[in-house]
This record gives sequence, C-alpha cells and structure tokens, in this order.
Amino acid sequence: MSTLNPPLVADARQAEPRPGPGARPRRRRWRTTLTGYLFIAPGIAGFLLLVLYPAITSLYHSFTKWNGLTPAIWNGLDNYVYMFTKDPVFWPSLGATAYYVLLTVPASMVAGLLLALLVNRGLRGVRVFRTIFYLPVVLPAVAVLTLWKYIYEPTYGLANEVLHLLHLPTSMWLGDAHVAMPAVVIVNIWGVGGTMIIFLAGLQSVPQELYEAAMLDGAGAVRRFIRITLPMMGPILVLQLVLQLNGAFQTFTQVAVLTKGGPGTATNLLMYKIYNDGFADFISAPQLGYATAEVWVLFVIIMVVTAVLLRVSTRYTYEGDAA
Amino acid sequence: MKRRTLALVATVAAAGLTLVGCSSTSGQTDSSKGASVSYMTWESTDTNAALDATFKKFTKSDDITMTRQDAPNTDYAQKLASLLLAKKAPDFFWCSTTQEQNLAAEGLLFDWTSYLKDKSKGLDKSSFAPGALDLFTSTDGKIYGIPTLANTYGVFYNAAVFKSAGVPLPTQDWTYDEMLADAKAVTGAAGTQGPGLVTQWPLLESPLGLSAYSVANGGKPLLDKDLGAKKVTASPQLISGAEKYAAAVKAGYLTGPTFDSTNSVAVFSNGGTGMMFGGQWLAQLIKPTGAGFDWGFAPWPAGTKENVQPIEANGVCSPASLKNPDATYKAIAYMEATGFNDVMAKVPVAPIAYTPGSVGYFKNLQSQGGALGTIAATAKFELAAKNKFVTQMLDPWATKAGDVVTASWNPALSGTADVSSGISKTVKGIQSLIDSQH
Repeated sequence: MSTLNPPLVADARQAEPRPGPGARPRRRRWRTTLTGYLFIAPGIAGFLLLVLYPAITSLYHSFTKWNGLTPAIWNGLDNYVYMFTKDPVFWPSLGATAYYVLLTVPASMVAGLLLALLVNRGLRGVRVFRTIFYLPVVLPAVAVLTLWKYIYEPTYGLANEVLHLLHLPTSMWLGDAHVAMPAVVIVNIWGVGGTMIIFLAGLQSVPQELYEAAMLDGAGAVRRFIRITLPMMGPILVLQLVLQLNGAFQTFTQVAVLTKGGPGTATNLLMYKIYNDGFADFISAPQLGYATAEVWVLFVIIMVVTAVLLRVSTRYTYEGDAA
Repeated sequence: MKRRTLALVATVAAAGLTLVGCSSTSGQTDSSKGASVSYMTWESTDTNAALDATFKKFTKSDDITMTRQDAPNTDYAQKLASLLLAKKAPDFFWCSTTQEQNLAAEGLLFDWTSYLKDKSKGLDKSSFAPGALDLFTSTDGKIYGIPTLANTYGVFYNAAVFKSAGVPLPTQDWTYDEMLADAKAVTGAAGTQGPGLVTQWPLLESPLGLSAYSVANGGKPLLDKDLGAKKVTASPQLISGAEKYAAAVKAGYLTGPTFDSTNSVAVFSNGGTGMMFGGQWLAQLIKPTGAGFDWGFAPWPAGTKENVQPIEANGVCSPASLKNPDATYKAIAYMEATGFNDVMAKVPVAPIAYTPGSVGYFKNLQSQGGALGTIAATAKFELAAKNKFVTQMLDPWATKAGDVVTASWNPALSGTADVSSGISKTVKGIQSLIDSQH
C-alpha cells in the first residue's frame, strides 16, 4: 500500500495548473471548496436544524415550566430539584432502569454470542436456523409484544399452562413485582437475533490460520475461544456493548406494551416515565419542561456510562496490528 | 319652514335609525344562518357515523353546515394540542373534565357562561344531571365546557356464577361489605379461575374510590374540595376500607390496583369470572360475545351511612378564538337535546348529562331488556343520585399526584406494603403538592 500511493499523489500534483500571476487558481480552489461545502450543506443543515437546534432549545426548556400549549416560564433549577428531592417515582424509575440494564445487557450479549457460535458451525441446514433466530428482529415489535402479553397472562396464558403441565409452580409473571422485570428481559433475549448476526460477522472475520496454529499447539476448544476468538472479537464486542447499553437505557416499547411500568414502579423505566410526564395525557397536565429535564439527566447518564466503557475497553481490546 | 325642515330631518333620522336597528337585529339572527361549524370527537366509527347523520338533519333545518374533523381515539389529546397550538382547533371538540379545567386555566377556551344563563339560546341549565355542570365550572365560577356523555360505574355480574355459588344477585342498594362478601363467595364458583371480582377500570381501589367509601360510611372525603383543594385527609373510615380491599387482594378474591385489565372484558364475557368492576360503556363490548349467560350491572355500592355514587361527564369545549359562537352554540344545543337521542338510539354508549338528550339511550337499552335493562336502571339510578363523588382529581397537581399514588398508595392496596403507612405517605405527598401550588 505504501509503495503505490506516492506516484499517484505526485501525478495528481503534476496535473494541477501552475500557480501563475492573477486570481484564477485561487478562484478555482475557492470554487472547489464551495462545491464541497454545497455537497455537504444538506447534511449540515439537517444537523443544525434537526439535532443541534432542538438539543439547545430542549436544554433551555429543561429549566422552564412548560406545558407545550402556552409560552414556557423560566423556573431555574426547580425541575431538577423536584426530580432529585421530591418526585416519588424518579429514584424508583432510575433503580428499575439500572436493574433492567444490568439484567438485559449481559444476558443479551451472552445469548447473542452463544447463538452466533452455534450458527457459525458448518452444520447442515444452519441457514434455516440463522433465519429462524433472526426472525424476531424483523417482526413488528408491538404485535410480538402483544402476543407475549398473552403468553404471560396468569390465568389462561401459555407460560403457566406449560408450567402446569410440567407440574411446576406457576407465576403471576407481569403481575408480580419481583418477576415482571425478568419476564421483560426474557422477551428481549428472545429477540437477540440482531446481536447474533453482528457477532456472526465478527466470528467469520477471525483468520482461520490462527485456529489451525493453536490446534497444532494442542489448544482445546475453550482455550481457542478464550485466547483467539474473544480477543479478535474485541472491537465488535465493545461496539455491541455500547449499542446494547444505549438501547437498554432508552427502552420504551417493551414496558409500554407489556407492563405500563407496573406493578407499582417495578418496570417503570426512565424512558417510559419521561413519556408519561410529557405526553401521556397531553392536555390534562402536561409537564414538557419537567420531562425535558429528565431527558437531559438520562442523556448525561448514557454519556458518562459510554465514556467510561470506551475508556476501559481500549485497555483490553485488540485493535489489530498497529504496524 | 324651519320647523317643517326640522320635522322632516327628524322623521328621516328616525326612519333611518329604525332601519339600521332592524338590519342589525336581522344581522344577529342571521349570523348563524349559512354558517359552517367544525367539530372533533374521540368516538368510534359507528358513533361518529351516527353523529354525522343527525347533524345532516340539523343542517337541513337550521342552514348550518357541519364538518367533522377526523381524530384518532388514543392520541386524541396530542392532536388537539397541535391544533390548539396552530390555532386551528375546530369550533367545538370533545374534552374531559380535567382537560377542560386545565385548558381553561391557560385561557385557551371560550367562556360559555352567558350562553348557558339564557334558556332561550337552547339549553336549560336545570336539565343537566345533578353535579354535571359543576365539573365544568372553574374556580372563578365560569363554565368553559358543556357536559355531554356521562359515565356511570358499577359491577357487572355473571348470574350463573352467582347461582352456582348460592349467592343472591346484587341489588341497587347493595353495600361494600356485600360486594366483598360476594367476591369471596363467587371466587372459583362454576369453574371460574382467578379472583371473583376483577377490575377493568382503576377507580374502585383508587384514592377517590376510597374517598367515596369514607363518605358513605360517615367519614370525610380525601380532598376538602373537588376543585381548588387545599387539605387532604384520610379518615379512619378510609383507612378501614383500604384495609378491607388490601385483605381481599391478598386473599385472592379481588384484583389489585395495578392489575393489568387488558383482558378483563374478554375474561368476563367468556364466563371466566363472577364479577367485573367497570363503566357502563363496557356493555357494548360484552353484548356481542356474552350472549351465552345471564349478566347484569349493579351500581356502585352503598355504605352504612350514605349512598354515594360517582359523577363523571365528558363534554365539549371551544377554542378561545371561536369565530361564530352563536352558530356553534346552536349546533351544541341541537346535539345535546336532539342529536344524542338519535345517536344513542343507534349506539348506546353512555347516558347524556343533559337529561332531555338521554331518551334515546334509555329507550334503546330498555327495549332490549335483560342485561341491557339493568345497565339502563343503574345508569338512571346513579345519574339521579344526590350524593356524588368526582372520579378524577381536577387540579393542576393531579398528574404529579398520580406519581404519589403509584409509589405509595398502590403498593399498600396491593398488599405489598403496610396499608396505614402507604395511605399516610400518599396523604403527605399530595398535601405537599397542593402546598407547593399556593
């Protein structure tokens, strides 16, 4: 690579007109720059209008009492003070969110990796299994979650019917404050096909000669997995971990359909609380200013967790041969 | 000559003034003629079609064109908010009591007080069900919404399950203790599974539901006032009622306040439970599927001292920027007194708070008799009751109070936390929200 590029660059330089007297070359360069800017202008405009402007205005609104119908009234830190000191649901919601993240992220990572290892084997009909495992990802979430709700129905649901047939104790599932969150996580694990596909791509990019060399040295399957597969998959694992964490902190649909945040506050994830505070009954007593403040707190939490994760992961991740 | 000229001028001026007066009067009368009024509802397709049909008749007789703006049922409030923000809200729209109170407090609604005072404009204030107009009256005494569809709450019962349990059917004067005893007796009867009393609507075990229990048994209501409340009190009667409910939940014959009610109607309609608490509108869902057994609808139970029944009405509101109030009020008055009779005769969803408009609803149900006859009887009984309780907290702090209920009240009533301490925390939490408003 290093031997090919210099002549090409040199050729390109030779093709450029020599700087002569007058403004022509400068104008040409300016025109080239302008063309470049024009090409990226839609992207920049989109970022400014649809990301930066809403972000700045939302930061402003987080310091206001605002119902979305009448002008916002500046109330300083009131929203944040109420959130941290008086809101009876904020801390339970944050606790529920942390519990959910701690349950669902490792479970999804492990399940995704195990499935990827399984479907990475050159078995007959493996493509059918890959399709089956990936299927939940392409199914409409609300429809699938509604079916899960029927499965978890305590009196007539499939889950308890099966447990009953096996003479095992049945459960209230989504109606039990202790079981509801693990039940939601089970649904998440069922839809782990997306993670599996990414891990599968990672597994297939690991050079086979490394495994062959290790086998010649007498390394067993477990040692090969620990010493070769995991380090080689490092960047993909980190990427997936970051994506999973971001997704988990922002989970909404699962609890909106399955539990409505209950029983009590057992599954009242922060994202669901934000929706309820801001939009649940938009006209009765909307608290858009307060909900925006909650969004900023969630944003900061996600930023800090992601930054820590990336910082820590660089120490342990194999990034390829630097030379 | 001078006199003659003066007399002539005076005569011409008088004639001119008379003409101007006449034209102005006729202008007022005609301001609604040929006008066009838009409206928006959250009703079902069937109810909307029935409304469209009755308004066609109105257009023919009153020369006011009616246009219905489509709106989704679930995200109705968000659509309405967008329309209000864009100043494109229809001339009148469906609104709940809390929506009316909050929008009025923000100065976004048209004040109908003067129109309602004048009987000749089409509506007679005294013909509204007791308490209905109070729900739409703000703290300054002004009325920014006109009540329309009233809701009644009670217990749907499966007669076969009651028979199998050897329990007499509920009557109009049944009590809380009888309701809980029946729930216990019918649990598991006739092959049913789960609690004998399933809730479809979270009112029975809510703070306001227990407030009604307290008043009915000689205690104080939870809030000193339905609107503009300043003091929250948990009487011993309220605590005693909550303890009874919590015990029933724990014993498994009543579902708790956080029960997921999605399948309640399906369970009741398929004979899966003996009793279901909910609103009269559920009859429309039970009717097509629940033909396999006898069922009925009993009113909200009475206490040892009083019979306190729920009052809940939705209504119609208009934006503050309403352009033609005369034509709009004419359309609303027609809908209340005549239109709803046509609509509810076809789709009997709810009785009408303006009693002359309820004839169609009751006629329809009574003509079908049986279970629907009990719906009519209970609705009539509850609407006519003198002692009533409001089913929703109406003040601006209500949403935050919902968080207090979630965190403290619901665990107590579900049997997962101490009842007295849960109620005490709820009272303190709501009181602090009220205090922070003043």
